[in-house]
Amino acid sequence: MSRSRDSSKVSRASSIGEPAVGCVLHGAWIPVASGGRLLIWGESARELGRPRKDEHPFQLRRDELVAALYEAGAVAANDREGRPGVGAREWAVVPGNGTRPSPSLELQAELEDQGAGPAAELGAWRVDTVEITRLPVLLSLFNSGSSQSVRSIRCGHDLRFWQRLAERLLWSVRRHEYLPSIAPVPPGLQRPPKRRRTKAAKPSVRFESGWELAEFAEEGIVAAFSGAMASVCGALWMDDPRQVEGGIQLRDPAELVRHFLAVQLDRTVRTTRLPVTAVKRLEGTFLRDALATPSDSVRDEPASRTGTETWEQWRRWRDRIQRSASDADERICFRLEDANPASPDAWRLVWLLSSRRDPSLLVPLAAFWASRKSDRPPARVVREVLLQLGQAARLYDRLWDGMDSEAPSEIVLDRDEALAFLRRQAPILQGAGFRVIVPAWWTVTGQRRLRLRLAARRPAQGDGTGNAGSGLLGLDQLVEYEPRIVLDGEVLTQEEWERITAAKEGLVQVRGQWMELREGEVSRLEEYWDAAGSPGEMTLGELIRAEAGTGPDSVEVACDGELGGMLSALRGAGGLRMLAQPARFEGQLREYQVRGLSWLAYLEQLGFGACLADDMGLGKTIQVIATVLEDKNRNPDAGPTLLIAPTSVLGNWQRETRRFAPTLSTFIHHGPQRAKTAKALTAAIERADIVIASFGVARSDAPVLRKVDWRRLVVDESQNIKNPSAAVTKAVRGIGANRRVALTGTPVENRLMDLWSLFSVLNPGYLGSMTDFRKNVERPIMQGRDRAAVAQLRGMVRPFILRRMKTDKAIIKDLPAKVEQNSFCNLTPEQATLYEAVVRDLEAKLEAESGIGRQGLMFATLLRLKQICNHPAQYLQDASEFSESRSHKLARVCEMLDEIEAEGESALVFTQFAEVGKSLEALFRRRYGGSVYYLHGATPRARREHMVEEFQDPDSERAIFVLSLRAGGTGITLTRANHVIHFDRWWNPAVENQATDRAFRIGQDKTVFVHKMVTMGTLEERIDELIESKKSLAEEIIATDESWLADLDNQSFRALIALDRRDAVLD
Amino acid sequence: MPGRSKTWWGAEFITALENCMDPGRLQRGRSYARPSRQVYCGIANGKVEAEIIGNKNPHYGVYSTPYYDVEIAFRKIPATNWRKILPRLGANANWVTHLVLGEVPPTIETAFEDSKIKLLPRSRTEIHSSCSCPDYANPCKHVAGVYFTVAAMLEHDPLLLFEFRGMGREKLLEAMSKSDFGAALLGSESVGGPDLEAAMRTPRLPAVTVAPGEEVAEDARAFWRGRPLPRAAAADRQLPTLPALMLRKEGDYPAFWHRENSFLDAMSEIYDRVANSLPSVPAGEFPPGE
Repeated sequence: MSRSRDSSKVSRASSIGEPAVGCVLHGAWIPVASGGRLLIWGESARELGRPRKDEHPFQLRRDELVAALYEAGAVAANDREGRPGVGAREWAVVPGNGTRPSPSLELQAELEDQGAGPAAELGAWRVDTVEITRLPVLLSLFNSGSSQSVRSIRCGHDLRFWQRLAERLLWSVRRHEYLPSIAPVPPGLQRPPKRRRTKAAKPSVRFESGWELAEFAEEGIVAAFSGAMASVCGALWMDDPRQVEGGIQLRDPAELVRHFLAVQLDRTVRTTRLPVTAVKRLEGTFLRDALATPSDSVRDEPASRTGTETWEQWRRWRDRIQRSASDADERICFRLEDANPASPDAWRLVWLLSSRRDPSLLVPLAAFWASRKSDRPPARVVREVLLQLGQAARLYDRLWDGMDSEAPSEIVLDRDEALAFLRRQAPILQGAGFRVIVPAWWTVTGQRRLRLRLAARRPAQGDGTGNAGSGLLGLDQLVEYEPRIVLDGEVLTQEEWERITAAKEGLVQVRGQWMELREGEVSRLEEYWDAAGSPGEMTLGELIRAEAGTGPDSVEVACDGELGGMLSALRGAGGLRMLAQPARFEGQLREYQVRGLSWLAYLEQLGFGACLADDMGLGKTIQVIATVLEDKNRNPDAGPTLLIAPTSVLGNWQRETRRFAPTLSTFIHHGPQRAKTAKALTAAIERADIVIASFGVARSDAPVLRKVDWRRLVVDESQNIKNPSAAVTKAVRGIGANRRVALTGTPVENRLMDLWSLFSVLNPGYLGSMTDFRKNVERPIMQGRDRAAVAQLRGMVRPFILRRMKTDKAIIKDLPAKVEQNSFCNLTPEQATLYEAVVRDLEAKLEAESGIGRQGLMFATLLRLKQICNHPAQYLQDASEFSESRSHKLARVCEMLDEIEAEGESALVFTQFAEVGKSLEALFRRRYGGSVYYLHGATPRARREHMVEEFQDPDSERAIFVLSLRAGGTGITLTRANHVIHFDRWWNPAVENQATDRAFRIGQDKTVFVHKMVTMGTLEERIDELIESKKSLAEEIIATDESWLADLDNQSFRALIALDRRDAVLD
Repeated sequence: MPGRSKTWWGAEFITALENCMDPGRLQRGRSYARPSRQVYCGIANGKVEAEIIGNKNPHYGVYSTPYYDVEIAFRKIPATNWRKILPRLGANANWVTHLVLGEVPPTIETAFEDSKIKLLPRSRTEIHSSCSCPDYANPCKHVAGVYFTVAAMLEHDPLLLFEFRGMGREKLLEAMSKSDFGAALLGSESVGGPDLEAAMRTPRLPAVTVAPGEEVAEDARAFWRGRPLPRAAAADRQLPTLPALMLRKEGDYPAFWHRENSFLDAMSEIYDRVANSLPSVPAGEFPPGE
């Protein structure tokens, strides 16, 4: 089909359904005697206006279904037959309450309210279907990456099942694990011929040719898949299932799997496009029929003369192949045994008899034959042994040499033959169903490796290297090394090495053990030897790269005490000197935070850039603050640290620094009034220890920032500089500082160019130029999925990245079960303006009111201010955009949820405002797809239970649960979540804690992170301070409602709500 | 018309005949090996008997389509010799294995080294043939045609050679059953498995039975979700293999293959093309064992 046709479908698809209206695609297999049909049907969250009789009221009708399929990524196959075609209307059997079907588990998550009550019985409804005739089309669904549009369409578990089964089948087809087959069809079951025959032949047995899976393949697949099948996979019927005697029925899973495999294998092989010449070579045999497609011009007479005789011949042939592959219990096994050092060309390939049922049973054939003198084995077993040996010899000719014996039991191979056996024949024999045992040193785990070892040490002090004096080594520091050839860590003698270079390739014996020299391995080593065969020098960066095994995978690095200690400390293998918590640090660092501080300080001391990539919630911020403080304590004259962070957290940095290190002074370089020249900036920050700027400012003020002499550069949320050619990345890269730290909560090691970009800031040059990196690292890994290269790259960057996860054993030990943190954010200018207007308005009225009127005014004001702190749109109620740019708080919450999503974790978001909950739900759905729930006061009970059940189901997707504080604060268990975000604050910590306890309760096996959002300089911060100050008192003192506010005098109330502009606003 | 020999022993048989008679005459009989020329061709008591449809030939006074009786017999090995040969045969795993696979063992003649007569014919005197046609030459076209038919029969049934030499199938198997390896030949003749009637009752595709679905309705989870799907795991490296590997276990030119070209070559191309036409695996690969 043509491209243009495709795109028209896609554009049509995009017009259906808003993302908020979720739909689910299902797949079912209808088995019929002559084949089977894979049909797709769909459910959606919206109910059909006027359903037809018996129609599934939530089904996707034909056009929507086709559009949804294309949106889900269905690619048209090359031929017309592969295109998803419109199928008939069929019956879907699903649970329901008698009159209405219940939604599937996947759809329940999408529904606003529960259409049907709990399912009571199976019912049948008619649905439109689309048939998928080719497996490639099936596999293309939901497979084109995580495109945004697909997020509104969910893949049903049943459809996923058929996809996975199809993949597994094709794996076997790729391994040639199938045979041609012939099946007799009795006259009664034959389909009438397409054209009228010229002479009326009397009906007789007809033979149909096709393909069947190798028994061992089929049994393996059925065993693995039939248990995983859900009933819905076979729940479509062509006839009304309600008319069946005995009620609605379901199909047997194992048999349905077998049926699907049989039909799809036959169809896959049959529909392969084959050149005429290839098919011509089968003309006149039943195999030609086995490749005929229904659309071939079928002649009246079958192409072959397949008759009873052919069938019997095929049967005998098939039985000898299939039986020896799996039926008979006896199984021949071949075991290669090492040659004796004295006779290196005598490798015994020993034949053994083993049992299929009990693989531990292994009898050498020599012993088997020896025992026949006393105990004659049955003729059947002798026959089985000889037949299997003969079949093996057909695949490996050399075996015949062992057969000219009274007790055939082995052959002896020379060295080259042994190598050829290991490399080629062993896997072939295995693939044909024989058992093969190879020496341990051939297996992946037992392999011995030759390496060039570079024994490195730091040159003696005072040899004139420039950096030594400054205390910072840097990656350019030179080290000396001496080369050695080692085998599994043991240094080889010259004589041994010469023996290896003489052999070049194949099997050699070193130190009494055999090993394989792979092609090119020795010559590569020789090249290194030529290049680095004599003592020399290299830089520290090169050393670390070499140690990580970059490029030459046969180089290892051994270091003397000092360098070794450094490398082991960098790799987290111990030896890192632990610092004490710095003086004047307010608060208590946890053990792992002290380790983080020590690590950061150590890397700074070495002159290396460092990336702290701890999970969100583990306290990256305070580790950095402690690092700055530690440095400041030691070097009181140290210059300022430049900290670049997203706008939404600028205030938080300032607030946290003030709290944990009050002796450090901060300065926010932001806003239209900020210093525009280096001179002005230097003057403005004269006394500042930490200068905080947003990424936007860093980009626009790069020329100014570049001119300042920074002690340290810290990049928070460093995913912002992951694009190496973005202006912001270039700007940050241009800012020089001897000490460089990046912070991120998302894993950085998996995206190659992101990694390069990060290192271009942290350790410029270490990963080479972008072009080289692209050519030498990225492309090979992306194209070849080169695992070794991935491991090397990991090894190279690991010394510079410290990543602790909250699931790490050491961290868990160190963490309380619940970690509570405030997340401070600023107001946007829009919020501030609105806030001040409301405060001014109150000022004007407050004096005039008293009693109930005064109290009402106070409550109304508080409500408005809280709304403004959340989002201007909530206060204005003008249907304006609920966007992140208008509220730093909302932006921050989204950033946090991004990280939580990247970790595959679930979160609860509490708010006291229903309208905010609704807006949050809609926003999160747009950002994160379907797995968002919202529970509020008006949620019906049944719906509520369903949401909770689905959320808690470990097999469902990770999700975000928005709850209203009042409706969701009690009663339910949501321990799937390990993050709780309080979007706005409540006066009473008991109420907040109760809400937090939805996740933090029995059944929770992870640390729960509680993030409380606080807008700085506003009412919310006062509430927070109030709660903090009251915490020491009994918590009941503050009532659950706001009535106590009435007791405040005007002065106190004004103080409570006043806007502290200094802290609050950030544009 | 039978073409080139598909097995070395088929070829050897024809070569042996060519050595003991005029190769040109032999080749002329090829067309008489066609099924359309043969009313009947069978073996009884070690003798080949056939009825061949000849050509009208007024020159010889043959005015209507003639039918000729052909008979071919090979010189038999005396029973005393067989008594020495058979134990030797049954004690050799190589020879028995080849016979189990339906092949003539390449070194079989060593078993006959004490016997004046070997398994394959060597000289004219070992073969007696007769034909009822008026042609006086020997072999006539009809006899030559039957030779080719016999050669083709031998390719699928090496034990016929023994029968020609006076060792009938049943006697052979009985004698073999007493030897160490020879017993293995016993089962190889029988056709196991169900007969055609039974095979017809088995549906071509697996039957899919149904069961009442009552309990399922109460457990919506089981209905919609089942248990977790098997994971696709990555395979370490591409394993070397042979195309149509399974088929190779039974050798080339199976009994149902009547074509002259190689069965394995033709099928290898098909298997390779099928495998190469599949979409590339997206995520990972399955391990061989589930």
